[in-house]
Amino acid sequence: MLVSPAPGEPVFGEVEMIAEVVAETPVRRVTFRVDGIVVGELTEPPYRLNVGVADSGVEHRFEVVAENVNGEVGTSLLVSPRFEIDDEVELELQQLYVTVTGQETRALDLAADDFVVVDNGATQSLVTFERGDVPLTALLLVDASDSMRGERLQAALAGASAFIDGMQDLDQAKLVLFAERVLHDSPFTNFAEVLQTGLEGVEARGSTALNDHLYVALRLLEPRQGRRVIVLLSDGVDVASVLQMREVLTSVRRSQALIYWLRLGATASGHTSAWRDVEGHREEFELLERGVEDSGGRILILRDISQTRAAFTEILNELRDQYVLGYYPTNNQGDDSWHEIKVRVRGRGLDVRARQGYIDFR
Amino acid sequence: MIARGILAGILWLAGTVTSSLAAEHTVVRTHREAVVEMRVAALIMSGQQGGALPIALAILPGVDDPESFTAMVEIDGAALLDSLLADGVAEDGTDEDGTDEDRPITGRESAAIRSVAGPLVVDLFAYVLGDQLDVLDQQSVSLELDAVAHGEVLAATGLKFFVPLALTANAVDGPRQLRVLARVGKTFGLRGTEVKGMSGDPPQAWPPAFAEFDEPWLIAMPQGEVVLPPPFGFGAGAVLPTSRALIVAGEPMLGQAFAAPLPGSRLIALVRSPGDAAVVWPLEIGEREQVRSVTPFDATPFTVENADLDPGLYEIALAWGPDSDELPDATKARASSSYVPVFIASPARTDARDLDRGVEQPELSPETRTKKRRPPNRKLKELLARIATDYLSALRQLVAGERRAALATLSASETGVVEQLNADAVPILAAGQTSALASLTDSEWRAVLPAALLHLDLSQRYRRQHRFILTHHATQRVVELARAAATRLATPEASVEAARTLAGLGSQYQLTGSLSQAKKLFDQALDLADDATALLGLATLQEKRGHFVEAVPALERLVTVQSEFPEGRLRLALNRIRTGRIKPARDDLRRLARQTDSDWVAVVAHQELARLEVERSDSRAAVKLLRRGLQRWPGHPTLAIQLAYVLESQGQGRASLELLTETRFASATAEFAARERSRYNAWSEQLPKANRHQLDLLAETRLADLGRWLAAQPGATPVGTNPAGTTPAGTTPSGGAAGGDGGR
Repeated sequence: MLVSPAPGEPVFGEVEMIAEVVAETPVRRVTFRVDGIVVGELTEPPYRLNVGVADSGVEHRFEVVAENVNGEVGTSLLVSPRFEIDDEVELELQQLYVTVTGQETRALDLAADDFVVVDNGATQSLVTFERGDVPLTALLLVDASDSMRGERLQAALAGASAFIDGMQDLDQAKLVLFAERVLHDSPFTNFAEVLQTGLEGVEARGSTALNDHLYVALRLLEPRQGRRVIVLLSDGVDVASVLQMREVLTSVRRSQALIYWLRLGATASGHTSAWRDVEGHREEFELLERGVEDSGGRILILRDISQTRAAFTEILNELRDQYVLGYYPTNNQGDDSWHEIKVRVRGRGLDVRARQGYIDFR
Repeated sequence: MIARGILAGILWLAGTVTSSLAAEHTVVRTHREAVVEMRVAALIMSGQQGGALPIALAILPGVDDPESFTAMVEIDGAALLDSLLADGVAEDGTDEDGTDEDRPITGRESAAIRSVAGPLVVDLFAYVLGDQLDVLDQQSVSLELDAVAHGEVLAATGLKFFVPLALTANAVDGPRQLRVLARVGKTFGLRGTEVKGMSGDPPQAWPPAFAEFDEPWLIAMPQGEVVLPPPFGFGAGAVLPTSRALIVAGEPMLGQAFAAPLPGSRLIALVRSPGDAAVVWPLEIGEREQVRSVTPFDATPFTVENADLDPGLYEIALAWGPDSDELPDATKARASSSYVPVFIASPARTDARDLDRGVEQPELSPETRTKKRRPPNRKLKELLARIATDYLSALRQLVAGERRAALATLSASETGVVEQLNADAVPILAAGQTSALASLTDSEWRAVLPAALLHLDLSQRYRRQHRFILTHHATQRVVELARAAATRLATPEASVEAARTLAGLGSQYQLTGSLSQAKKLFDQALDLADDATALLGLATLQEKRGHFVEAVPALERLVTVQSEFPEGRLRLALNRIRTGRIKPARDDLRRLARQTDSDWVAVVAHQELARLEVERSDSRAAVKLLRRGLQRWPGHPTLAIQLAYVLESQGQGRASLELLTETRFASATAEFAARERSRYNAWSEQLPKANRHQLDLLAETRLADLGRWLAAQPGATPVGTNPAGTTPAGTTPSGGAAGGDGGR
């Protein structure tokens, strides 16, 4: 009998399947299946297996099949419900994806006790802590406007390919090429071939609607639980969006996705358009910077498009080295207010980067 | 700033720090109009550098206006004096009195200066070019100075010109260049440099701008138009900038770093000769302090001891290393600022010529030297006659319906003359072509429109070919013919037609990013009549530069002249919103959202009206409006995004997400490519195209009149049919067209 996961609860991320097998004859093997796919086999107790469930917007079927030495089989099946956005589900656990660096290298030897998490001024106790490969869902948002014509787009796609090739089994990604409209997009998948299909005929053309497409990316990632990441490759100058960056910033704070911005060129200063004057464009740029910072992500400035591949790889490596800290906030009021989060590491003068806060929803 | 630990900028001061502005203004006369001297233009457009008058060039970023910058040009005094002698403006000779305490300049220079009769005129021409070599801005400055009164300073240092220039930054993507020509008498010098993105922010990592030694200079600076950026700005603690690092070998280099020190780290310098590997140098770090300037800023001073560096060109960057006594390995250190070129000079004073030493400079080709090429009078008359003949031939081809042949004939004629005479061709071509039309009576000037359109088309063709002199000529011809027709016909209709022609030319320039030229033409058009194309061009030019207030009056006139032009009303509405006039804008947007003449305008109107509703806290009205829009244009991605945002902000997260999930953003069959907002940001083409169509129709009706007038002209024969075997001006005897004007 499957005793974990618990019945009636939606599941996401890493799940522990626990089977209790009561048999009069010795058990030859216990097979674990998720959504019809065999995910593991054990031949002796304890019959426990950790599995990853990245896509939480749907029901999942957990099944164990125990077979004894006589070939007799017993099964147990549990179907977890889908996760509904507007359902009243108590989701108090705040998860922080934290990058810790020293002198330009990441600190990988920390324990839970090394961290101090302060939520709106109140120190919090960690209830979960891990480091290493936590499955992620990434949306790679690549600017394919006029400025990316020819080799530049090819270099950008080569960089995205480096990220895709480095994904692990439980990771998923979606590739979106955008200009003033979407020029190409793939489904969420972890099959590199699917992500890279159909790119041959895509040409960079049109102007840049970064705000709109960043907003869509944030929203499409919402139903996906666990670690959500947007990797944006663009120079950051938006001349075609209907949304303003301050509107998108609200969604950044709401969605809790990490945003990494591979910035082509160092600055957008001096830019004007029929939509904004110099001050307006500068403000948009600064708000995007703030959004990246608020999300706990990072800006990597690319002086040259040839640096794309290395930048994508660096992001992936950083994601693999992140700590995941979980806590139940002690001071939530459910008043839609912004809670500022501060994370530090005791005593070692290390730099810590994490999400800057969250909205305490009603 | 997110990029912590990275130096925000580096500013180098020379080995000697000046404490006050040590110079004097000696502006006697300046021309601030963009004087176009064709010979100068040809030299500048040739792209070559060098000349007998070495000049040095530096770019100082604008203060508060990222579209502006100041070009600082230095003319070395000693080189200037040499040129005076070479040109015979000054006479060589020694000072009979030998050394004189009251006249510290002795010998050759002293005699040369004192021999200059009358004011010494120094001309400076500065062109800002886009990547298609379009002229984005041009200025000319002339300085008359009393060489005798200021000779001492001239001999010791020289002249600094500060010229304000405009970059229409993002109106033209791509690199921009600054090219400068300085001329004294017959001697000139040329120099160019790339203009990188400018920022009005406090100094980050400029292209090198160094402080001058504490010496006097003669300065030409238009008062009130040039504001030097910090820390060079005038005022307490101001220093005079110089175009190259004057760091003397053996003396310490002083610098200031803008970033605060990081704990556990130490500031070091990376020094290299261009192309070589860097070497780590220690720095002496001072206490962080506030630098006095027009805009004070905090900085950490440091000193680089350079006793071991030979004179020459180096590059220096700052880096962070571990805080220890041992210097880190240069291969492991990473520069935290960009490399800044530094010229370490020998203890003697350097000048612009030092910049060229060891660098191969191309020789200016004989064709681009400023040499008079006007033919003798008899030959000139023949040339003028040929030009006129060719012109009439081209017009006859036009009347006969052979437009392409007409363009070819006229182009061949003009090209040949320019090939022969270079910049001197322009007035001669103008004279010859004007003389061909000399017998037109006032009323017959109606027939000139087809000719003006020929020049209009050639102007565009020459610009695409980067033939500056021919472009200038063709443009001038359009302007002259249009204005002459308006004057001679002296009717309101003629003024309207002339305005339409000039506006068409202005639109051409606008589309390729020559905005200052476009503006001039639009202004000239509007002097004649309220032309819709000119008004729209002017308004969009202001709008694209972010000058929304300035755009409104032109748009208000536009909707009066052309009330049924949706795009005009849309732009007026949006610019009214930007300038606080919401109510009339809302009324206009409501009408525009309902109209069906222009779908793209209606889409944008829906979006901006929805935004206004949200801003006045009526999200329900915004949702209703956007849903109506999606009914009218199903699946429109931008409308869907905006509606999804409004729904989400209303707490309807699920509905918002469903909408986004259902919208097929990448659908190849989507009727709308969501380009409306890009279209708004682009130069408007609808009115210019309509304008040109109208002109073509009018020109068609004038061909008969032109034909009648041509038939009455004596002696003209078409090209290639002259029984005497003479050939058109500028062509080779075999009949082929000659080459271009060498513009590059």
